[in-house]
Amino acid sequence: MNEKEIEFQKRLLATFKIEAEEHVKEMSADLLKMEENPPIHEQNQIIEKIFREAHSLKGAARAVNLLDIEKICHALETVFDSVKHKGFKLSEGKYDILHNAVDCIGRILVSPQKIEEIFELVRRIEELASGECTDENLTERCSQKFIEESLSTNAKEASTENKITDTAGAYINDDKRNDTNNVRQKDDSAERETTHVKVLRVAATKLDTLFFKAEEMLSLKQVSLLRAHELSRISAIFNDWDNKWSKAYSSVRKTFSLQNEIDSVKDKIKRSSADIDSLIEFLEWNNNYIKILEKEINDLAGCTKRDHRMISGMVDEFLEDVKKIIMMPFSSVLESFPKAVRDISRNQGKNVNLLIQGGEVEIDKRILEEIKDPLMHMVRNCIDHGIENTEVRVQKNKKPQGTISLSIHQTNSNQVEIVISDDGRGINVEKVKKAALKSGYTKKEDIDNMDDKEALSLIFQSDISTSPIITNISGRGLGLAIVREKAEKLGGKVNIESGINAGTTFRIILPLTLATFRGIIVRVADQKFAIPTISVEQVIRVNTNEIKEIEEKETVFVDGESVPLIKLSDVLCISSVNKNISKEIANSDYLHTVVISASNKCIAFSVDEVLDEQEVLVKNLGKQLVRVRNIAGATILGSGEIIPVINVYDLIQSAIRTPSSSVTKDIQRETTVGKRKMILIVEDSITSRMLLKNILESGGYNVKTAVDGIDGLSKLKMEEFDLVVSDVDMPRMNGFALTAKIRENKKLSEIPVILVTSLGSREDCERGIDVGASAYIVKSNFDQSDLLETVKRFI
Amino acid sequence: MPELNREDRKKILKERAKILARAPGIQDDGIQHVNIVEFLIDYDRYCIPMNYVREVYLIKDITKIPGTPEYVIGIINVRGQIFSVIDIKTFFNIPKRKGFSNLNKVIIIQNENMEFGIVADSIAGVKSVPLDKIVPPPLTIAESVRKYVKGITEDQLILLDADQMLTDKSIIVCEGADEKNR
Repeated sequence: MNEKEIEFQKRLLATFKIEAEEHVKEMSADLLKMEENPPIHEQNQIIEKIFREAHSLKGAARAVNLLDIEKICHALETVFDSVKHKGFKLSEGKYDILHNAVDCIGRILVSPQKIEEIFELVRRIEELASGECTDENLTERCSQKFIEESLSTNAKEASTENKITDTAGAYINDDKRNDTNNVRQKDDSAERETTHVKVLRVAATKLDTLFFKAEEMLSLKQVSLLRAHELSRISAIFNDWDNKWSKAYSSVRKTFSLQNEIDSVKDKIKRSSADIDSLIEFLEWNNNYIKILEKEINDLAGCTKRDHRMISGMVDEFLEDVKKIIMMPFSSVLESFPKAVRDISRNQGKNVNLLIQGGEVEIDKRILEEIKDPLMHMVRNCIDHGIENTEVRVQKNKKPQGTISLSIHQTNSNQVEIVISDDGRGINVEKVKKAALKSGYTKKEDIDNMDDKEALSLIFQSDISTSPIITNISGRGLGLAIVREKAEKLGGKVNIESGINAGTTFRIILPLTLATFRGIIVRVADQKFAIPTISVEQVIRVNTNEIKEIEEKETVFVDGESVPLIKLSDVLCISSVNKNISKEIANSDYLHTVVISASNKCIAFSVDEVLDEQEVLVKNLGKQLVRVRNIAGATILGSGEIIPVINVYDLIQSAIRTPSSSVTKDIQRETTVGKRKMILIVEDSITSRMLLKNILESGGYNVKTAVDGIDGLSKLKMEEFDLVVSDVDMPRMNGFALTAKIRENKKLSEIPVILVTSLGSREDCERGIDVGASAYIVKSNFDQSDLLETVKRFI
Repeated sequence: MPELNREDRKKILKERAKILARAPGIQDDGIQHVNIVEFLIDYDRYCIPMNYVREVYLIKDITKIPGTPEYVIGIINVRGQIFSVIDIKTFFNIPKRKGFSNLNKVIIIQNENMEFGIVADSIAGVKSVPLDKIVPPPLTIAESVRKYVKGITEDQLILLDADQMLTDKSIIVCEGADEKNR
């Protein structure tokens, strides 16, 4: 806490500096105007203005405990006051003192100044005000003072002179100032420039469009990733061609030489020989041509990958910076709260104290704007429903003054928690239940089954209010529903805790930044959906044997707890049209499920495929689709494809109401369609073996393992396999030898063999092809999808 | 046809150019005209005032949104902005004729508060129709549809009331999980 306070002080001081600089600038500009002796009515206006500047600066300085500035300002105030009211005249020498004072404030802002100097300054200003000081000794002292000052400034400036000249030049654009003033101004601004960052004020609307565009940059990043992937895919196609071609080419050559021999023997068909020559020529040319093409594509793929890395780095950094700009402290909207609380509570004859903590926590400006009204609403609720009248409180042995506390703290790097609590009467759960019944929202038996926590959360439903009367402030039962909807729309949640006479506590959890979050992309039937990662507890593969039926509802165990299993397609009312896809499920004993938790409930949803996890920028569905059940918005992928984003809170609600058809039955029906393919893994390292086994099993294959070539070969002879995945470096018999053996064996020769190895050189690869391997995957650029895709190509 | 001499040809061309150069909409006869976009849905000819049309877009890909009414076909991505697309025939509850229909064009209409796309088979073009020749829709048109029809133009196009469609609450989809299945 202490650290936070220090941090806050620091920031406050920074803000003060900005403000003070503005005041100083204004004051010196105004003083300059005064020196030019403008007409009397203008003079009065200027004096009035300077007076106000000095006054507000004094107040601000006091707030940050800069007493020196306060003192100087106070003295200045006195001078201007006497100018204003007593017709006190300012002569040239006196202006110098005033300028001096203003400059001194500017210097204090940069670094603390000597106390004697300030003391002296204040004394002289005060003398000025009382009129004791004569013009002569004033100028004398002043000139002396000035020399000292310029000396010190020059010394400071000398070191940074080169850097400053430009910026200082930029400052001098006020044509009203004469040359000498320019010099002074230059010193002033130069000094400032060396010590802090300039601050610009920019209209919020301008920033908004900037943020919007910045977020659009995300799609650029995604597009570049997509292109890189596409090019790698094309390279892979060329690889395939390479393999096939090198095999075919040798046999083509053999055939030709054979043909030539025959020709020379028979010597009859000269024409055909010429044809063959031109064919050979073409094949040669074709070979070279494709090789060049292959090289270019590979180069391009490499470049694109590098470009993508660069782009994504730049975009990420850029977005990060932009996000920082958009952050604003909570205090900026909470300012009006104490006054509002005071007004409302007075009106109701209650005595309420509002405590605000953590106003300095910063959050995305757009979230802040959205959450302001809901927050106000909840505070109002607390006064209206929560806090009792003073007499009632006294009767209940409570402090006569009710307390509402609003505290904000950051819980992790991308979340804040807002806790609003009161020490009022609390919420009567029975009353909530009754209200819920009355509104027809829930059935009697449902309510009887609810625990208090669930029942309490009913108050977030619309039309449910425990308040017997509708006041102009609350009681319609809409408020909390709106609060929850706002919070959920922003990607947050709301919780409530309450006990009779123990007060009520609302906890609102909000993300720190809006719009982009991570989402898991899943496929259901032939449609894709994005699920916010924040609500996903786990993504798991469930073995179909593990699905248990409880009261005709399917459940799975997740971390020792029984969780209902529901098909996402059922909840979203999508029917799977494509039969090929359901076949895919049938091929696997495993079910992909996404465990989602929201509103204190946890449900496992089965999906057809989990595709990816990526950054997601949520957009509205267009103005016509204001709110769609289960869908929060949509996001655009790099390919330009739009994907609906799931509203998890809706989804959980809908899931509870949807009768889900059985997942297991589907599978049982479909398993008869296809038999699972059998794969043999030959690998000496146990880690690699387990890894490969895992990957292939997740792809829906049956897997057996062997520890080396000889072991593998004997297994192959005993059982039937559809494919072999083998390492190259192994004891007893290596992968090349094993492949050769397989190809020699009549029964086994047709089995595709994939060599997975760390030997990445071209010779090794060619050797693999020579001995008859169907594919060659180098471990260094090896990932899951690579292997599965390769396997899929063969079986 | 007898051969025209140079002068005559020039004259004719000049006259033609004059007619073509006339600004559509404001014609000489003093009658007000309205610019419309004509389009076809399922062999029915519709048109909509030009000033509500933001753009016409060729759909490449459309994303279905589960949980929306049948008349909402889905959403499309128009240069990074998302628009919903509706099928007005389904919305009007007009039964579809059998036959080939390739709804692959979208007319995006908008006013200050609303915007969405209307799907169409083809866009016939833009023209200017005289306002005084627009007659009220025949009584054979169902009441539910009449609300959205401004009239029938001279050449038998159904002129849609874009303003009505854009301000009509019943076209807006706004439902939560709570409202449904009560």
